[in-house]
Amino acid sequence: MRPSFLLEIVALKLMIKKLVNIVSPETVPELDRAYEYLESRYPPGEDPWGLNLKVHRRFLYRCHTLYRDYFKVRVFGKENVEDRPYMITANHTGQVALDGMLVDIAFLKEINPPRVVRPMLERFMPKIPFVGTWCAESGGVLGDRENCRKLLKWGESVLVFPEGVRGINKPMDKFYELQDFTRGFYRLAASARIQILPTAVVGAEEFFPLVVQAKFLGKYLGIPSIPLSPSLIPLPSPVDIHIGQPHEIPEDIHENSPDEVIDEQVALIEQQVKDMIISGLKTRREFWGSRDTNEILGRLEP
Amino acid sequence: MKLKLKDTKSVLVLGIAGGLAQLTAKKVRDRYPEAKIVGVDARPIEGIECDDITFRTMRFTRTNLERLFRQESFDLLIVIGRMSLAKLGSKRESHVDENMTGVSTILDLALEFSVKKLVFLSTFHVYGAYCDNTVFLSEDSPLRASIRFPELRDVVAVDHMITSWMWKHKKDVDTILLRPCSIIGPNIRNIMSRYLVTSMAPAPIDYNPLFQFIHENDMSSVICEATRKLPTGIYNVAPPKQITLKEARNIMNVQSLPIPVSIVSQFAKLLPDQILRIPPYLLQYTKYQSLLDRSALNEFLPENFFKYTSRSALEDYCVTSHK
Repeated sequence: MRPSFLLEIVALKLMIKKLVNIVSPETVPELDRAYEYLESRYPPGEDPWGLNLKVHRRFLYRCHTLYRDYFKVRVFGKENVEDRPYMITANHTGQVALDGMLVDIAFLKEINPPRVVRPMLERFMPKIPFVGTWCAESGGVLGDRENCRKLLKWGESVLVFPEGVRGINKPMDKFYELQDFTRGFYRLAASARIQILPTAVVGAEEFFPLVVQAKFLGKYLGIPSIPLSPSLIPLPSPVDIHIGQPHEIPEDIHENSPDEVIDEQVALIEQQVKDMIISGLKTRREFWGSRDTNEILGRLEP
Repeated sequence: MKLKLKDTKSVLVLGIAGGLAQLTAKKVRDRYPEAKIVGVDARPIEGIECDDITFRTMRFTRTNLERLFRQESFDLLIVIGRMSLAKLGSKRESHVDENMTGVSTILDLALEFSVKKLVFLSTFHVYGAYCDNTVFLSEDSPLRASIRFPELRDVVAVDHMITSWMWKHKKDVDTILLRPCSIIGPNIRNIMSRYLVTSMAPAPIDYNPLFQFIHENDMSSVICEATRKLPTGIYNVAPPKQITLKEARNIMNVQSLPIPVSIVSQFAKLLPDQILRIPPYLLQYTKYQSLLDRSALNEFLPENFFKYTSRSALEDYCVTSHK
């Protein structure tokens, strides 16, 4: 046997090990400290909503490379987050719910103390085989009023996308345009007397810059829509997450306040997110697949 | 009109052939040493030897039950178990009818013969397993089990019947309806207990719902304490902590037949029992969870009342079932 053959095998083994480590690393020093803290907060096994910290850890370890090296996420407004639970209210972008995953990593890695934010899932998600279980183990929770109320009571921070699927499944000519926020999230925050943390995700719309919504196919499969795009994987669009000033629920507003009163407050939050999107677009890092920022700003700015 | 401990002179336990009923009867005997305990069942009564408990085997007809109520003046009535479709070997319609008629007769007689307290055992199955079930179902949650599975129609119907009767006759009788999570233990022969020890039973690969398991000893203690401490009402019964189905089967150390339950459940009713080995409706519970909110019970029985968590109940069951 040639001695070089042995060397080739060793080199190949090392290469495979390195590749495996990139795809599924055994440790990510930036996240390890956060998980050490979280392990003391969450009991071993699953919490009642199915979160399994081990699975969450494995998942975020795998996704961290995407977060750091592929989408090159930057987080602004960290100083606005205190050590208390929040209802994180963000715009929903990117055709697939990668924005939720990026916000999740941001709040675990960049915020002190770290936290597992619990994204509220669309009702069809838990139905999907494998996906439903994986979502629950990674912290996702069925977007149900009672679930949200109980999570907030447990001291968890929840992540809501008040635009719903209308936000994520936007056609190309509506990229970065906020869809109307629903009222439910505000009523829940009012009932739990919890602060709302308006958050804007900028850059995710260009994960799939060319997209068509196949609603007929979605209807057939029992989900709202299926985005069809020539790029099968999301493009490496740099993402900025902007965390705004917390919104305190006024004392005279409660869960059952009239719609008009709630609408006024919802509009304030909507405007705050919109402003952050506009200012975020002005400072964002463009890449080869980015759409024309000036054209987008021309549509968004009055 | 709360039943006082010293008032209890005679107790009737219906369904005494079951393991849980026998455990409960023993605990009730210890709790009310002066009382006469009568255990009745339509099935042959085996596995219990107690001199101070009277056993009777009889069909649950109105005539038989009336005779029994006339002979003994019962203060306390504990109803555990129901007639299962498999055991009856009857059609679904007559099965539902027999269960409902049976419970209706018991309720009529309880009122007629001035029973002071009634304890009924229902099940968490009544809530149904749906993907949109909220985490921790309260006692007020809708009972949706029979929407998809008609074989659970009698469970839901009986539960509804007891609930409406309970509030109507609240002034005359204290009635307690317990809806426990999966009861497991060496003396329990319910579907979930059998499923957990059945080798090569189907286990989903595409779902992994959370379950609550209560140990038979804890459950019998809850029933016993319910006779003293709980006021009229419905109570979910579940121990602290929950566990995934996959982990539960791992603890039980049995081999599973991995199946994509989302596909198999579509034609489960066509599969022979020897292959499926569990009733088709149970497949739904292996997909979606129905976790119980036990806060109503916690007001009267503290959390440390339970000696077993879901995990330790399984561990104990594993040890005892392998003996």
